Amino acid sequence: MDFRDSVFDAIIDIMKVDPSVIGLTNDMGAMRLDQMRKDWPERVINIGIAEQNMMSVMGGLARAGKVVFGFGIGAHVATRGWEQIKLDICGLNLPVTLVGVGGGLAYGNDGITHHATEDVALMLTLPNMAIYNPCDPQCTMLSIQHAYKRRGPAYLRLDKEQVKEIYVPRQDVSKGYVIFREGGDATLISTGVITYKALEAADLLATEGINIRVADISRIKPFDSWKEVIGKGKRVYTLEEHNITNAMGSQVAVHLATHGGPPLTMLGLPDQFLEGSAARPWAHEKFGLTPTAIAARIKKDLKA
Amino acid sequence: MLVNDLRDKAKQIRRISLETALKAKKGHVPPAFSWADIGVALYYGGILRVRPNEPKWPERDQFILSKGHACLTLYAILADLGFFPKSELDTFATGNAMLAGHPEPHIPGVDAISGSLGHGLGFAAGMAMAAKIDGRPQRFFTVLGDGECQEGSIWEAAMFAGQHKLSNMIAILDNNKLSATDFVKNIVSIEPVVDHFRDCGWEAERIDGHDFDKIFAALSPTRLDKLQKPLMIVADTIKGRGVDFMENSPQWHHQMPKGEQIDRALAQLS
Repeated sequence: MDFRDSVFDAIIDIMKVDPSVIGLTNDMGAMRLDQMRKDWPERVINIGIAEQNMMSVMGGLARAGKVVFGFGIGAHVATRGWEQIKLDICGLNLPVTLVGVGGGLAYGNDGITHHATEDVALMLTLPNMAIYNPCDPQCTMLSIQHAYKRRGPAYLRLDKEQVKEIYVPRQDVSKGYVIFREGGDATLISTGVITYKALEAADLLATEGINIRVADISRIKPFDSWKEVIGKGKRVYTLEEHNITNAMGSQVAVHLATHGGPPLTMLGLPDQFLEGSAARPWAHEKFGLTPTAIAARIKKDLKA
Repeated sequence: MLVNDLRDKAKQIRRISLETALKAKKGHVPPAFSWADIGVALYYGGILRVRPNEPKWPERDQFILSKGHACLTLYAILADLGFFPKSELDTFATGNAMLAGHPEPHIPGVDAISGSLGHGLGFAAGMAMAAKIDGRPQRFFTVLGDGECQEGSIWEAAMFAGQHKLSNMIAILDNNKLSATDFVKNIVSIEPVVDHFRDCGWEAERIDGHDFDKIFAALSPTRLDKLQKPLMIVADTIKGRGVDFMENSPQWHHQMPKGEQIDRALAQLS
């Protein structure tokens, strides 16, 4: 299963039992969305290419009793109608889940118009908003279910990669994190599909006798378990495919600055536009986000 | 209420609005005055189906003042009708008062956050669509500003409502011709705005927004019952209506009257 199918399968399961659920898109196509439209023509709305109106209409629908799932390209839906998300959805704490396809550099080679590398920052600052960044399709389904039960505003950052799932059906995602690997030398906190790179880096380090803890953060906000996630590692690293200036790593930094703890290194994308094609493998190589580069960085720090 | 009584009520609402602003030493008085007759017609003329003693009545019509800065009129009406105690007006825009300078839904009788322009029409369209899906007979009214129609989101919502024939949606454009700093036509003209809405699939017409007979004719129950499309009433109004020195003047947007101006304004609203 891929990410997109997992989102729609999860929404379809909810639509089958809850007639108040409405799906909405800004003219984004998907096979399972077509099926949804066929099964429930009055419950799937193509708003057209109009993201400001998309957010206001979703807010209005939810205010009038609907539970709404919106779907579009992350670079557009997280940014174009941000004030409408703030006032018409978050301001009223309404049950609207916005699925942004193509988090980070999932559309890297499409140019900066399609890079969603500030979406988490924009959502972090909105009261009531939940942010999900699942690393695999199974976690995506669990996140959709969690968002539905939470009955509030949510942004789900959806990837496009084909991955081998590490989450299992009915896994508990209520805390927003899962520790996928234990180790006392350092803690690597990752979010989104780049968690696979984190796990590969941990494998490389293990061959050299360095054991690190790897945590995957599937829900960046609300989140109150940084202490438990950091554990006893001598150093802490955060890893995310996002502008480094304000995202998950910053949340960890605030926690450590407030409560104290080991030194922190934030790994991610620089505060600059990646003009031209910025395909994922290229960007990971250039900015030190490959398993080899991550492992080398941690090894160097630990030996310093 | 008879038309003469409504005229008196509108004068009273303008006076309450001005007194509220004077106490707070802030507020957008002239933009509130331009739609006061429309507001009185909606709330006292039997157009809006609402219950002041039950603000969350599930079958109520919902009203969004999309030009939220003009909320003094809305607050005066809601307080006068008993949605909340009149004493709330005394603390308008002070401390942590219930009534802020722009409407929020914790206020009884307010259903949306408004005041950042261009949100109300789309939000109303979402609510109207939900009511259509559920077969509920509610109606969704919005009052827009003419300067507000420079926002692109208004036209996204207008096209959407027209496309989906949201005939439970009624919008009134408070066409007072003035924006914050100048006449709208000198900034970016919105005309011919009736045609623009018709082109987006709306039933639309232009009326005198200070003539109660015209307002009631435009929003008659027979017409609203038979609507097949969303309805736009472009109401030609005068910004600052009711106080001569504020009327139709680019200087009067959120300026407060001072000294003799206060006496003169209050006298004209007595």
